Amino acid sequence: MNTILMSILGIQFLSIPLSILVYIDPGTGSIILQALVATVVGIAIAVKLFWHRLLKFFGLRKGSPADPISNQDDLPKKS
Amino acid sequence: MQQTIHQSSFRDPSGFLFFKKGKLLRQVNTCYQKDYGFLMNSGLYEKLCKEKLLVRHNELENHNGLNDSIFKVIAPELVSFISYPYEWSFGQLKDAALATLEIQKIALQHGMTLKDASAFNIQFHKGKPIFIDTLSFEKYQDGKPWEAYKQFCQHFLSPLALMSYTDIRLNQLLKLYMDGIPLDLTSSLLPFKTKMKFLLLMHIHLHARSQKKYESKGTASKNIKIKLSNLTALVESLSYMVRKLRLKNQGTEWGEYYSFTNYNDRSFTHKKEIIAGFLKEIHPATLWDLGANTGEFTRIAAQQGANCMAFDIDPLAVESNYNDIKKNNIENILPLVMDLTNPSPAIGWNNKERLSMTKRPHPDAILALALIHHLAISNNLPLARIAKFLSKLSRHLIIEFVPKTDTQVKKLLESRKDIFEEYDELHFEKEFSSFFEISAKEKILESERFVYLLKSKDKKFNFAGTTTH
Repeated sequence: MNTILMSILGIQFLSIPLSILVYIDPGTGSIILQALVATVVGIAIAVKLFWHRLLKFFGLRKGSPADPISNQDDLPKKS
Repeated sequence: MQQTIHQSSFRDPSGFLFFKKGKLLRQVNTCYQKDYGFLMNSGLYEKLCKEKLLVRHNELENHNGLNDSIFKVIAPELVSFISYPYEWSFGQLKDAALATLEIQKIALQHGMTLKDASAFNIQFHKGKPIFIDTLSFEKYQDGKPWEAYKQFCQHFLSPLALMSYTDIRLNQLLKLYMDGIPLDLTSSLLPFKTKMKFLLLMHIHLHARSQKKYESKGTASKNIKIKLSNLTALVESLSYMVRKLRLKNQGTEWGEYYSFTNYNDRSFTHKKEIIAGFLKEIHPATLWDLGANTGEFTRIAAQQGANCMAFDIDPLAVESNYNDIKKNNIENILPLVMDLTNPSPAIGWNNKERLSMTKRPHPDAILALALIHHLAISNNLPLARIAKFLSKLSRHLIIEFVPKTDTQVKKLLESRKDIFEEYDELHFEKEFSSFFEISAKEKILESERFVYLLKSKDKKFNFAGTTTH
């Protein structure tokens, strides 16, 4: 997990730091990992919604997905 | 006027809990004024209360609080019994986790976020998990990561994954690790196959590695920004993962107890009748069922209106009890995992943050059915010690004596030397009479067992009327 990987995944870095200091320690490694996971699942959900809309557009599927991440097999196995 | 700060309320500078004349109140400090205002005015408080996810509170006018930091004093609605995550079954912990995530999801929709995600902020109230810390919300800043993510993973994901994939008993690690099970420990205890599951790989295994990699690089994450849609996706992914976690089919000792007793239908019905009759005589407002199994007999007291705790050592029995309570919307039974030979200790700072089992509010009555032989024979406890222990907990005791001729006791003695010469009806009555008055005694039809209704002789119960603790 390095800066290049994060840049590829679109994880953004601010020039001005947010006031992230709270009364519990959020953990540096936890924040970095969180940013990575949030981006991956965020992309996965966006792709799934797009795919669903595409199928719907062509009349191949009806309704809306009840759970946007209901099938984990659709997600990549590794980051 | 006696006012004392709650022993577990010191971490968050936003405020604290304190007792005034025995009533539990919460001081909100001036540093939390803005966030408190946002919580109350954004619609979040009402929404969460309506969904029964957050305890309601009343604002007290003209209260001076405990110190100069005061902005406001609020009186929260109280839950009937404080329980801890290491006393919950798998399903209870799972529902507590899902409630926390649902709260975070709703908070984000209202422009706020949870600044902590401690399992100790959840209590079971009227059969359902509810969030009890009103001061855990802060205004969401655009791009800000979820600071409580690590805590959520340690407090909820770790024990749930371990219970699901390794062993149901591993939630007991929460007794050792008050701020949740460290992720590197969880990662090392989980089987290899969990690395093949995408969300477990990310939230546990890679999370643990990331923590190790950046443990001495405190500033590396300072400028990280996460889009709100991605943050919501993260919460969704956690929620999805928790919902997917299941208990393996683990056969424990007592989970199917009722199928394997030597009761016949007539004895079982008669036992229920005896207990219902005894309970009608004493009308307890609160009751502890010790060794409750799946809560078959607890329900008799609950149906008569008592607020009941159903303790059992077997996590699967507690799970089964909880599932039934959920299914039937029973509000006045709380099943909890408890080993009576080693009840929950007092833990945390100064051994006062989390209360031991015996320091929590005592009930009006105790049910101890088919329990005595497990304590006296399996655990070698002298009858006098059992009697003394129980006499201090409650005014009334309904206890079943199971003699050596009973097949359940025979089974316990099969593989060991019988050193229990004094384990019989006569000695039971003699020892218990030192601590209790025998109000009634009934033999269960077509069995060797007796059920007693006893009244404690302990000096604190010498007053007439209902006892308060």
